Amino acid sequence: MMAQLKRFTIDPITRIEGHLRIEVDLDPNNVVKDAYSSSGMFRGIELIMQDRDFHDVGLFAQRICGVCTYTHYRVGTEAVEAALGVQIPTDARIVRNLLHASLFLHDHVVHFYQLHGMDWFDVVAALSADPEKAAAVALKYSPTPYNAGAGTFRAVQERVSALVASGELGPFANGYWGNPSYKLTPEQDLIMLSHYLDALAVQRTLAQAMAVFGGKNPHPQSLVVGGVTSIMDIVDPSRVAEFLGKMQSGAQFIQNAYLPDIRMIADAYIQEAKSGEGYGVPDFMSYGAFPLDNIPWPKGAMLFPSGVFNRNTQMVTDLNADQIKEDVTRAWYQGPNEGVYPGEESTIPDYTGYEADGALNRSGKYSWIKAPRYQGLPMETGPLARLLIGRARKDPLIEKAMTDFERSVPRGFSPDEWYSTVGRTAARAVEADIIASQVGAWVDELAANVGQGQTQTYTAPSNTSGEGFRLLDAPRGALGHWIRIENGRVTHYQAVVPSTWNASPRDHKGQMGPYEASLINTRLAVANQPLEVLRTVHSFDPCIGCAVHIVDSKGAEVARFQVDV
Amino acid sequence: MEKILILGLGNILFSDEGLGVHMAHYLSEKYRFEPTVDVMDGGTLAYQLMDHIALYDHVLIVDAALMSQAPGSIFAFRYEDAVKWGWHITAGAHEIEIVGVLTSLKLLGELPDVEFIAMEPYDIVSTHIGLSPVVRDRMKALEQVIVEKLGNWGIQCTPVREVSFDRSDKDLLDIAPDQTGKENSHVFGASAQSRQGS
Repeated sequence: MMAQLKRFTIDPITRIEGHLRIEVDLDPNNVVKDAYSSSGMFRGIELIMQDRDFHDVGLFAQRICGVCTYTHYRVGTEAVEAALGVQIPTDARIVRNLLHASLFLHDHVVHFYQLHGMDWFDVVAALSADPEKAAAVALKYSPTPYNAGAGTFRAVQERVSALVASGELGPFANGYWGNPSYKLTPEQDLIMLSHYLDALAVQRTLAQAMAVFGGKNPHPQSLVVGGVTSIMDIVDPSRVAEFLGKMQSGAQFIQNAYLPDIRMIADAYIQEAKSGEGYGVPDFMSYGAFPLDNIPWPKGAMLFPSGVFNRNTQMVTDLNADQIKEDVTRAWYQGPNEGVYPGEESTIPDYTGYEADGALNRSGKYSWIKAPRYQGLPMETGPLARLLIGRARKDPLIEKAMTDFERSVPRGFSPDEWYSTVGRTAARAVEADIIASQVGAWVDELAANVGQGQTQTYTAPSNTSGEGFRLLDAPRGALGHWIRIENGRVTHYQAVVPSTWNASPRDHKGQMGPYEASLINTRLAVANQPLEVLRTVHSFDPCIGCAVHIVDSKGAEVARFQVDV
Repeated sequence: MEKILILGLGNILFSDEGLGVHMAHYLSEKYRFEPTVDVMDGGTLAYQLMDHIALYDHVLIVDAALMSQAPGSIFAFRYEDAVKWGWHITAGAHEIEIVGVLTSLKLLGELPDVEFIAMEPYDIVSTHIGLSPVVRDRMKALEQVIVEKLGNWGIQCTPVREVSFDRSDKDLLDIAPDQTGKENSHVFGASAQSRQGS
């Protein structure tokens, strides 16, 4: 006789960009036996691009969302370059990588502390910690811990207590404080809380770094089809130094706060890592990131190599873009069952709604997110995929960074433990450290080129028609833009974004997407407190980017603030 | 002298969602402000705006807001009101949103005086650059409320050229040449139209 399963819906998943709903079935022991990931928002960037002048594609693409703007700007621009056969100069490639590096660091720091941290640390417990003891604990995870004196910790407690006392919990509202699934000690909680505040300041410095070569931030505008416009910045040593200084302060934070805090988490949550909690699908995919030469994708060298890796065989294979298809069997679109290659794909909504009681229609379509598949299989994409592929390809830099991390966790961390929510979160920090370590060399390369009089940053496009795509990894994973241009105008556009791979629904074979698969067998410590589910979903860094950036009163009493004009 | 920022927020790809951004561009094209104020297109950004906001004494945020009132209704309120309504824990479509960013600044002790002027949108779903007719017809009223607010802060707004909200989505602002030859307000940011020339 089957035990009765209980449906539990989390809608929306908070602290993410965009709108995501997770529906799980719990058995009587509060273990997840089934899971569904759904987005209730339609994303129509493809429609916006129709008939646009190709010069404008990147500028439109970067308005998709407020988190990964630069990524869409770059990949949209490079899709146009691929379609028109434009080879950008070396200096332009380096500048684009430097901009991308500032985005990766900014994104990873904000994600871990502001959006994901409170799945790991308990804010309320931090307020009762002993600041002197916390200062001693910080030394256990780093010889030079970041801003970790007893005085700092005491001030942090006072500041946050004042906020709580005023009733204005702000970011600390609606947490599951006191849940037994929090494993840090109060002193470790306090270290995390303190770094949460430091991260708010550090991310501002990293955003400023982007503005140096980006022309501006918000929404940089220094990329054009054929290269970059930041010529005056790359020939000006003081501007280059400004960029480097800001990136170095970011790097210091990563080395002395972010990585040590991840060590602390891996140490405290070692059981969760050992049991593989949050491991999803066995296949991992990366398009690669940070091209290091001008050889066309996928043949060129990249800081993070491209490929597809299977956990069970431990084999890595080369990517073939033709093998990518988007299955819409279970998504609110029309299309053939096994899916269509994005270069040929249309976006035709086919909304069929929910069950009468508001539940997802589990036998039919249930999400606005399509189900991308590679050779018919779901793929996890993101920092963990990039590290696993780098290691499988025997990349010395990536191998060393992973091994160093494994050895630095006091209770040890084995290669098998990367396949978990803890591992996914650790991979993001290790990756941030790898990127930060390369920035100096890229700046030197740029300076050497400029020193030799190589200051070309632009190649004019000579064609006005063509077809192509750009596949490149963004902070959250594999991002592809496909485009067709006829007589200077866009006639076909399709973007397949990282969270589409990770948050995808089932496909025509019934295979779950990575979020769904990663939640199976997760046990909730407290019924009705889905902390462990949030921890795993957040570990993918969801960005259901696309849409609505709006303040919402939920029908609060606002009439007296209305202005009659 | 106190520094003032007018910050237009929103996603211009989703019709009325972008009304704050369109208004920011409109104001910066149309007016000369004395004493000067900065006007910024904040687009869809969140944490990346912290650094800018912290630089000012007064910030006026122009945005769309779902207030469950008739489309085109205009609201004026303060950051503190938004907090009281629990917007930082909103279950809205966008969790990383501006009120949370402002609270983060408060945590750092760098929050300026922040006021909102918001309008109830009609359409924030269509993938379309441009405003719905009902909202477009209310942009003049929104402008009036903003100009009055700036007046209360001691800012004089002098029109220097004719600007109107075009009805096509190809180029939303219809801008006449500058009649005075003077420019002293500066809009940071560019909307997706390539008006910078090539």
